[in-house]
Amino acid sequence: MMKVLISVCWLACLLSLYAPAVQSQVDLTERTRTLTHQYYEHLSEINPAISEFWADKILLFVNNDGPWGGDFKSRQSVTQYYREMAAMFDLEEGVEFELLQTVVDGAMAAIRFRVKAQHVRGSYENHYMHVLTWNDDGKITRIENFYGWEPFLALQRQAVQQREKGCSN
Amino acid sequence: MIRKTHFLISTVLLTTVALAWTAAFSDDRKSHAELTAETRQLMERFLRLHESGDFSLKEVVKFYHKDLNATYYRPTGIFTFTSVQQYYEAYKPERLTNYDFDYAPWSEPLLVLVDGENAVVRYIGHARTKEGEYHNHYIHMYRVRGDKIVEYHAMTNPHSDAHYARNKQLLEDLGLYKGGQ
Repeated sequence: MMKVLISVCWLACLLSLYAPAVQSQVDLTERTRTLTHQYYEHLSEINPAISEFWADKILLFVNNDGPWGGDFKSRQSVTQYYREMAAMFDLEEGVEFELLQTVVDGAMAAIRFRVKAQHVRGSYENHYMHVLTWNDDGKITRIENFYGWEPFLALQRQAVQQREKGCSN
Repeated sequence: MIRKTHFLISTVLLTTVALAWTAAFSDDRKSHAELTAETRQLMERFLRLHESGDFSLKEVVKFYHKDLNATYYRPTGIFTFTSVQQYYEAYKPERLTNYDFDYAPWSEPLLVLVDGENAVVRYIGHARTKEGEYHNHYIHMYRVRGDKIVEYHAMTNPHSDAHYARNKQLLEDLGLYKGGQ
């Protein structure tokens, strides 16, 4: 009888240690989900206040060996990156964002979305994937930005063809 | 006596209906935590296969739903597959051997995130190609139905000598290249 009681006590102790850990992981995921949705809302509104989500030591990694690729390691350089991206589009024509998928796990989140906009060289549509890492203060410490090159290249090809056509005429 | 029989038959019938209903809708009633645990297990098995460095495409497609919807966003275009058969025909080893590389790939996972029936995997794919080493960064976002992958979206960043050189040349031709190498 005593052995059974001791076993039950041990089990209760283990459960009391394990349950809060599981609950805190669930809480962290839900906090990250809320923050990520707020971040996406700012992104889709092209709201300059989006920089308030960035930690001082933010790293933006753009997975692209071509134009606009690389590591941007400060709030200033990340701001500059987004300014350069925005400058390629006619923002007055409006930019359409569509959130397609969200994956949140602990302090990390990934979002997949489609962007339709008027690029300076023509109409533009592309898919993006962002992976975000959040810190304890609710700020983003790392953004990984993935997108297809092809829509940019298609616009550039058109421009090159038009230029060549202009030269031959 | 008749009443008792009647009561028994009604009870058995009601129980049968309740059990059938429970079985039919049991998948729909899985909690988010249960779905996350199942998806995580599936992704772990899927990645173990890729990490092994010794697998065939036939083993990979076993993880895919027959109605697989897969989209690759590559520098050369956007490619969509609307069935597992179509995917297999495009990537079967004999085709790749002729077309692209000596098919001996292995993967190095960098990140796995799971949320209900959704998952994200970041990894580097390695292979020996006819034109040199191949080290390609990937991000895949998956949707799972039952115990199969039913949808995924993949973005790649060519990071091999051959692909890099080819894409660098393409970008230079277009006046777009800004890299340092």
